[in-house]
Amino acid sequence: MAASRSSALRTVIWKELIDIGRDRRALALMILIPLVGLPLMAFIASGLSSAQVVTVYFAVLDNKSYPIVSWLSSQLRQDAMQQGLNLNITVSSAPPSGVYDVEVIVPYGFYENLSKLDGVAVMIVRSMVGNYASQEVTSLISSIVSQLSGQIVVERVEELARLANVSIVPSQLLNPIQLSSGYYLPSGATATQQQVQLSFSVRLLEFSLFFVVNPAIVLVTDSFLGEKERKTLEVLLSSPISKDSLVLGKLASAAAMGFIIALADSGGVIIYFLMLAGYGLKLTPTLLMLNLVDAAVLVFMTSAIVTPIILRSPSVRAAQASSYAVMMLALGIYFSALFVNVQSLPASLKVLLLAIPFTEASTALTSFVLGQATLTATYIAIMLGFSAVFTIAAFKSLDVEKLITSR
Amino acid sequence: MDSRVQPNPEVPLNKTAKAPAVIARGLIKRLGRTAALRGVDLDVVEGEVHALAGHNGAGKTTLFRLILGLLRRDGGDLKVLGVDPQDPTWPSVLRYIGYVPEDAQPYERLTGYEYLRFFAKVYTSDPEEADKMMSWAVQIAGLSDADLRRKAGEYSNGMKKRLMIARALMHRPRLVLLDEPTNGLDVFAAHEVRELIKGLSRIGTTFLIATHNMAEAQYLADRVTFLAYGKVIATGTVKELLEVYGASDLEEAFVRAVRSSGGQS
Repeated sequence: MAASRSSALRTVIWKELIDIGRDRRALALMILIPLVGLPLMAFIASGLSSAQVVTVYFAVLDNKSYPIVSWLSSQLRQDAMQQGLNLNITVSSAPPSGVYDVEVIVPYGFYENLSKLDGVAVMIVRSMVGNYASQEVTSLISSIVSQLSGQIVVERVEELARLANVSIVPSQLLNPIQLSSGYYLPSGATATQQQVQLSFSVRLLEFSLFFVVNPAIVLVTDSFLGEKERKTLEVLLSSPISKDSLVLGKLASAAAMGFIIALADSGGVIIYFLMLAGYGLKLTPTLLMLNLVDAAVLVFMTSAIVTPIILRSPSVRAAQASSYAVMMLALGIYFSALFVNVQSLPASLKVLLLAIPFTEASTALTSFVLGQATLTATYIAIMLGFSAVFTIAAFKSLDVEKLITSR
Repeated sequence: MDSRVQPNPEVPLNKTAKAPAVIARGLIKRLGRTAALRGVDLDVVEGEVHALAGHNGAGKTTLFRLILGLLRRDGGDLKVLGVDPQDPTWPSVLRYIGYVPEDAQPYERLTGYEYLRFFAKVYTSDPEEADKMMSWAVQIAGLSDADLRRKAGEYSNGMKKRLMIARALMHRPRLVLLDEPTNGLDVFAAHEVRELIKGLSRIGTTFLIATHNMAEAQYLADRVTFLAYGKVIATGTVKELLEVYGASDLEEAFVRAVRSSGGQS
């Protein structure tokens, strides 16, 4: 009794899973990369940032301004700590003589000008060019000075009102227009605080999808080219296994392993969110489940996209270069998800982006947090459609002669 | 030159007592700009050990790949077990063929048992039949139970070759193609493989063996076909070839055959 097509398919999957499963080092790396990739980025972003020391020098040339500078520096230290910045502040009556990340000069007459009803006090702030942390500190100083300035304006208005003998509320006089802002969903309903938090958090989930694309490409490339490199391909192709069973078996086993990698990716996402718990990031179990489904479909789709490309490549090097190009395309899409909202792009650009299959994996998640579950289902269905089309293309691309004779 | 040792398309093979396993007439195959086969005729009858002897690059592997349907021919006719390898029904014929490519390797992360089990399942979905294939393969491989439980990547070259020959024979194929079966093996392993082929040929398995080792061809083959520069230059039994070319061994006969055929022209 010759092996049936389904039996042959099961046999190929069985062999592939044993083969991949026993390649411990490669498997460990493939699981480890998505698991630690995102947390590592969080560690690098927050850990290294807080490890660096930003030197700030206050040159108080106006003796009377010491109390103000003292308040300013203590406020700055407090705000910087909240931002994870580590400051080394020096307050001196001498002008700066060394190199500092930020220099604040309080010139003579600063206090006097500040005390006048219409005086303008000048404070000089200089920050080191090309130093991101010093720019952040400058921005904090600017914000504290702005608060102080506002407080002085209120005092001046109160003094003017007293002199004019009129009764006013200074804060109302100074802010005649009040801005009441809020968020709403594409449906028009007001967004809850959780939905607002999720809408920002989801961008990181979208970026994390890249970590499952890479192993999927590696797995499927090795599945076909590895047989050739390890000199096992010719025996397989001269056996009675149908070409379709062979391609589908390899795709299915790459996808099965990819699913494990997707699980690792979800683990990585959880760790990442725990590490950055204080930054207002939010993750719900439903969103996490959706991320897992999305990642699993993405793995299968990526494997299906790469297969016909590999099978049509004239050489192993060309196949590897093509796989790399697909990976870079995916990286581009997921990296842009951090900054770009696909829905707000012009129609022509949106269509172009949605024609790149990886975009759907990203927009499926965004739609979900925006309360558009139907749209999410549509995007996942489109991904499955892409997977089917590329799988058929893979069946048609298997040219045994080309595969045997390619170098 | 004796006409008995010349390929003669005008003498149909079915006039021989045994059935044809391979009939090739005027096979042409180009690989890129190179003419790998330039009008090859070949007759292999069932039950014989037929050696395809030639130098490196003579076209032996290309001819094997045409016979297996792995490559498409550019000209000529070919029937293997009565079917054209370019026929849509061809994949079902592969069930009756066993093949060991020259530099093939087993799956290094599968144990010997798993490797054989994988191919048994490829050939049949009947578990009992698969078990029988396994038993037969284990017998052919001659590897111990402990060895078969080890990953094939840990095997010596000789053990790997035995495992692959066992895999190629496990489904009791009608035709077995071995490409340079002893290439890269040490003297003991090569001897073991030759004895294995010799033993199996006695029970009626048809072998087509590609080799550049003339001593091996002389030792193993019932009939030998000399292939040089993509052309068949002589075919016959070892005795016939030695007589025709007045040679003391097959190597000498081959060299004389190539010279008398005009070499690469």
